[in-house]
Amino acid sequence: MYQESGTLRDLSCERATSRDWKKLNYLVLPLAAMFLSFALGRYPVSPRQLAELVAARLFLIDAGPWDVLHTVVFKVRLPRILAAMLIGASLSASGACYQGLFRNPLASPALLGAAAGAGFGATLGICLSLRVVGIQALAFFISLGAVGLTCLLSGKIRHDRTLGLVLAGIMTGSLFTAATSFLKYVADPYDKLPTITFWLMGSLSSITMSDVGFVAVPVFLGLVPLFLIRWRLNVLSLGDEEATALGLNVMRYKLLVIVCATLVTAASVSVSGMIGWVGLVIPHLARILVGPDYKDLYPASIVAGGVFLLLVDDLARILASVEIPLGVLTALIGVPFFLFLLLRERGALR
Amino acid sequence: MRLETKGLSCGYGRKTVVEDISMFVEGGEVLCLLGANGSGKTTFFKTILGLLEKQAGQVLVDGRDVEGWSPARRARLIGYVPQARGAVFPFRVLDVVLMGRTSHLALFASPSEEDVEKAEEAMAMLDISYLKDQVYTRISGGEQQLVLLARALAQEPRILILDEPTTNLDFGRQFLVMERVKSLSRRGLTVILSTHFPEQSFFYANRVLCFRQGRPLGLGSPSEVVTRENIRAMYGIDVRIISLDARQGGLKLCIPDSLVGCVQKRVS
Repeated sequence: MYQESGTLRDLSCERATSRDWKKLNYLVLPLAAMFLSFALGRYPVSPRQLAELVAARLFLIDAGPWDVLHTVVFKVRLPRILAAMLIGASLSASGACYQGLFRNPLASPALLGAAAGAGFGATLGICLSLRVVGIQALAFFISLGAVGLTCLLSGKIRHDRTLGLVLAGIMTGSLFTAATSFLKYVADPYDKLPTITFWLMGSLSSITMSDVGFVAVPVFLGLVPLFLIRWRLNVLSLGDEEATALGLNVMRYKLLVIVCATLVTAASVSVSGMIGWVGLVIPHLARILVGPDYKDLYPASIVAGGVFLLLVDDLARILASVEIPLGVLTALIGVPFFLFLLLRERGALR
Repeated sequence: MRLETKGLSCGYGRKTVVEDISMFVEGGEVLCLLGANGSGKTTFFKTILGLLEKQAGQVLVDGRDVEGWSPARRARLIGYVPQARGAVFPFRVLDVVLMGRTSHLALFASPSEEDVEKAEEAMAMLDISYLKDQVYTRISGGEQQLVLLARALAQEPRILILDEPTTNLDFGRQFLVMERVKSLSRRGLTVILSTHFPEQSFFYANRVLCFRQGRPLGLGSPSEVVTRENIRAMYGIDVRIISLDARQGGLKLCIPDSLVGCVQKRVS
């Protein structure tokens, strides 16, 4: 008996340490991806130069002869790396939350019309020559309106809830896409139109440190509450009735999740433009890696989303001599990747 | 703990499904709800649980009206075992049972080691500890039903509502589940359950409530209410209610007349 309890304890210790190792990945993977991304690009930066530069910056040593290098690393690559990780994390985390909330593995910011709504809001903001905050606010409120419209429409389609949500999302999405097209049609073709067009394709090429600040605030405001209630997303995914019977205030939590996830999506879209597929594919990948429990799934989605978009953005920078729009690349990579996941995990979609 | 309804009417929107139900169950009792498919049993349960707006009447717990109670407050007293249906995400069985702890958790907390222990105890009580690490969506319907019961037990309620708990279970497990429910009620739990097997009420119920198209047909002890007439009114078939003699425990069985006829023919 004594022997047995001893081995049991050993086993649980072993399990705990292997879990801690996995948690270390949450830190190691993003740092490795960041380090790699600093080094990649048209202007070569060797690992040694990078290390010296970072050390110089950290310990406030005068970095005299590296002016160009300094600009490349801190003014060009750093904001871009941070933005890519923030936006990838946001899209993926909000996708994971939408999937649990709507009990639908196909839900994503794009599917619910949240992205299209934010896109329209931001386009409108550009047309009106608003500042970044104004564009974000417009993107957020219109995006929230779009998600609301999707919920409203899907409520009318009662016979098949999964299909109903997908159809409602498609309808809302195309409404806002049409509205965006109209804005493009009437926009100033020399000044506004190119800006809007490139922005819609999704790009981080012109990102600055102040842009990063503007995304970071709403992203944290959205991601932190979701992190705190992440375990309850499991309960929400059982459906309204069961969740209520288990003691969850369903309306309150649903509202919180929708507002936070939409805030995060809108903040991202208003800076980066339309970047599809991350919010759909990465939560699926995370579910395969760590399982469906949101306690692990949510942080895993954040990390995987951040790393994924960072690596894709690296590809966008280095694949060709001209930069490839990020939205184009995420689709090119996301579609076959999603197909692969679906074939692997047929059960997940029933 | 006493659960009582006074003139409770339930339904969806303006449509009334169940009308004017007054009943009560005390702690330590089992109330069995009988009625044909679509007679409003589930609707009645959902209204007691606050999942549906009531249309009229009152739901009282220990004499206090539960109107306006938060879902968490209600869930700490009343547990619910719905009919098993597919989950969307492939949760581990232990994680499903852990969700029973929702109403006991602080605002931002997730389940602690203590909650895990309570979930494991609940599973052990139903002999389903072996399912712990399996995937909920890949176990059989009967096993899912037991997992949902374990989840309700992990909730540590004082009142337990079970919607057709034995419908998907195999022969052995029907008895296992009913025995466990009965022993829980002996320890003071208040139990209401619906079933399609009138005989179960003879074995396990203290009282029976019969529904016919949303109207109460009778409320009383099993031998008063489960009669030939009421069964015909509820299910539209004629049965013979046979009492086994005292040596066999004085049990009662319901056997459809048509079957009895067949047997007699074959014997003669």
